[in-house]
Amino acid sequence: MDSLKLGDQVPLLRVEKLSVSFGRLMAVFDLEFQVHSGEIFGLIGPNGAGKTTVFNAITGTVPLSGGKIRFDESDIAGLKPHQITSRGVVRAHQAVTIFPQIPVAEHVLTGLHCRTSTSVWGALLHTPFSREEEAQSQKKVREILEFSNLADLREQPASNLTWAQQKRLMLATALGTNPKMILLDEPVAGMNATEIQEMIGMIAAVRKKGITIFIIEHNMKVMMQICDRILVMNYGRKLFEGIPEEVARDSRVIEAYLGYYRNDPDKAH
Amino acid sequence: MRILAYLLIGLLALLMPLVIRSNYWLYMLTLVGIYIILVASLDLIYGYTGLVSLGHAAFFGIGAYACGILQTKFGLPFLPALFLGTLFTCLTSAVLGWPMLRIKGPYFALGTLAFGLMVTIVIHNWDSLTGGVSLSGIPLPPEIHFRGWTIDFSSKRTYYYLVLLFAFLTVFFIRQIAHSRPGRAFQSIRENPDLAEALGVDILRYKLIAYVLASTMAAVAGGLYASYMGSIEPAIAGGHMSFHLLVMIVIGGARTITGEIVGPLLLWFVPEFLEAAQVYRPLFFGFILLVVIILMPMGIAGKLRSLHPRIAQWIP
Repeated sequence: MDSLKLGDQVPLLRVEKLSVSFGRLMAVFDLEFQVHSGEIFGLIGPNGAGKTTVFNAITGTVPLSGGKIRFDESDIAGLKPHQITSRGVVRAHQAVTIFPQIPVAEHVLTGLHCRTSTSVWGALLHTPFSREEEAQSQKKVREILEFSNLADLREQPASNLTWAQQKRLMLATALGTNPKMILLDEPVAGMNATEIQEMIGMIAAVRKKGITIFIIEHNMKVMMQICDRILVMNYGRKLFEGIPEEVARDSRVIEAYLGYYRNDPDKAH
Repeated sequence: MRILAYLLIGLLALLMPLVIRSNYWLYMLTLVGIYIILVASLDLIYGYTGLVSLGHAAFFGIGAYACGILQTKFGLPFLPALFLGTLFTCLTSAVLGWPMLRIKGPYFALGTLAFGLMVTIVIHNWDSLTGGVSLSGIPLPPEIHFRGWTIDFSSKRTYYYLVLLFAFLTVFFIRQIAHSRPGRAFQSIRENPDLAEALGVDILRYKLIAYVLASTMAAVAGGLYASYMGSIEPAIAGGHMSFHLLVMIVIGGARTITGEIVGPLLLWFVPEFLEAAQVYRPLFFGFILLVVIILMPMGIAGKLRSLHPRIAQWIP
């Protein structure tokens, strides 16, 4: 963990006064935070707190009502989702959003799309460039599948995979885009203890590659274990930000989650 | 194994005219060849990219009319007319696709249906240019003399080979694209457009590429059809025709070369054998469609592949 401290001061993602509204509903309001290069940054909050909306705003799938999102020194708000992915932010979706009929290896190949450039003509004429690029891509895919422990399943359609394998596949596919930062949306939801440990190991290994991780997860034990810092949201606003130990102690966080103060036994039920 | 299957199909198609002596059946096979170009190109939009188009025949019609008009009204020879007519159709599809491909799901299908309808109406009513109910007098491609050889397109056999060449190229191109970077982009759009976009695929761009490519191929089929038939009617651009093409690829099996060939063959020839029962053709058509959709959702090719991995190896 010490090596992290070196990169601590570089904000890779800077969110300033972010607001997102749906009609009259303010899903996110005046939110400010920074994610530093190389860290694992967590975002938690009760259902409806606006966590997923924050991810949607960063990846360009919902329009901002106000504020700025700067990634790697440039403004990414207003860009199209595929442009944001090319800049180096990718979201590892929940497993329900795989390409069901497409084999595992081709998922990762699709992830490589934005880092490759073979055109229709190149494909049609089978140019030396397209062959070379395809060979490179296949090599990259093999590496990523080895890394994700999915190499044996490369020919399987994704719908044949177990839930946990699908989740690993989504992370592998995200790695294909060669990102600087990965947004992980509930990476361990619905997993058993063994699968959770495997995913935690994979996340740690991804971070070791120098990729910054921004994670939403309901499993507090996992969040406390892997995150360097945690942002807590409630009703679209920032409630608290700090290291896991502080978050666990903070009374506002506990209230938001459980709906009562520790020292107020009347509201315990 | 699949390579062998390709060769077998190719060989069969090449030898067909030697087996079949009747001009009528050769004529029918040539039309099937034109349908294969149409169905294979539709497979690119429907099978690979996942867009349900009920207006694919519109581009066939525009291509056929553009080539026909360029030859009859402007006196252009076959090849320049085919080239310019195809180019015109290509541009039309780009102009149409740009706004239309933003529309999703059933609305896109309805939009393409409406476009097909518009095309037939325009052709029907623009008498001075299109000849109204039919445009006739479209010449065959001129004879080609080459080192003492003469290629004469008035021979049914020669034209069959001309169409076969284009059908082969179409199927081959689509196969080539499907397993490449752009092909994977198409398929990712079909499977999950939101995820595709999140992974950095510019979905509008790739939908447009698939749409324009397929329309261009349909236009080539149109040009070949116009010269072969000598006269064409507005109905070739209509919804009925588009629907037929869609049925062919669904029944044959999307995303398979077998499907692109079997679909047109089956739906073209089986009703032929029911000639005595002309009236019942639509009924028969509907019946096959129903049976296939219920029993073989992946079409005939898909069903065959799912029977056994050994069989699957032989179904390209």
